Amino acid sequence: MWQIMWLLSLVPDSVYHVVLILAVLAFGASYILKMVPFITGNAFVIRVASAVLIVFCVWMEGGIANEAKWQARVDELEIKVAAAEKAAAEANGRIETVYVDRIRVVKEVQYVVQNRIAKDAAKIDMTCRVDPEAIEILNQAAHAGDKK
Amino acid sequence: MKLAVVVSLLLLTGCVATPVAREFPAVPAGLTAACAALIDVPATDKLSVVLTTVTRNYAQYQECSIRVDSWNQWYNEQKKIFDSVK
Repeated sequence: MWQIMWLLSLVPDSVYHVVLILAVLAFGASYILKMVPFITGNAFVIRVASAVLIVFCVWMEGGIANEAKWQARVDELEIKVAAAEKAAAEANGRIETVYVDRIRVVKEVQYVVQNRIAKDAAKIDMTCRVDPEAIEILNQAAHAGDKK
Repeated sequence: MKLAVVVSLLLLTGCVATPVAREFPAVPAGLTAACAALIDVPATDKLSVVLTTVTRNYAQYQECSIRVDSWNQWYNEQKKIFDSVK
């Protein structure tokens, strides 16, 4: 079926407009121009053929109008999608930048904290001895949410 | 009857989806990294060693927390942008 529609779509729209006008004229002529010998002799055939052409061309005109409507919708959507893709890329860049900055701050603070512990280790260790039980409790707590 | 079927098929040729392809944007690579496991405190009696491990774990938690926050923010913003196209 789509092959037929594809073939019909190859014909320029203007052809259907012209054929429709000619078919309407021929249909009218089959009634009015009875003095012309050719028309008088073939009036019925011309009438039927032009009626068929009118129906077909009106159907195609409907298809053309519908296609134009959908094409306009597609164009509108493509513009919106392009704008959305641009906004998405900008949001991606912005979020990634903020993320990297925040991670860098954590690492910098961590570096300072570790240096401070190393510097004050003697003082910290002088007044406090850690019981092995405390370490066991800490490690147990650290693995409370591990995957089984 | 056959004519009705043919006419119906012809009419159905108009029923096609709008051919505009869309994809949900890819998440930045940094946000998809898994959170690291917490570090165990080595066997020691020195508080400074314990403190070092604990503060490292704090840092890991903070990194993981930032990642989750960023992931949520990324998803919410991208969904809002994606849904805005109608």
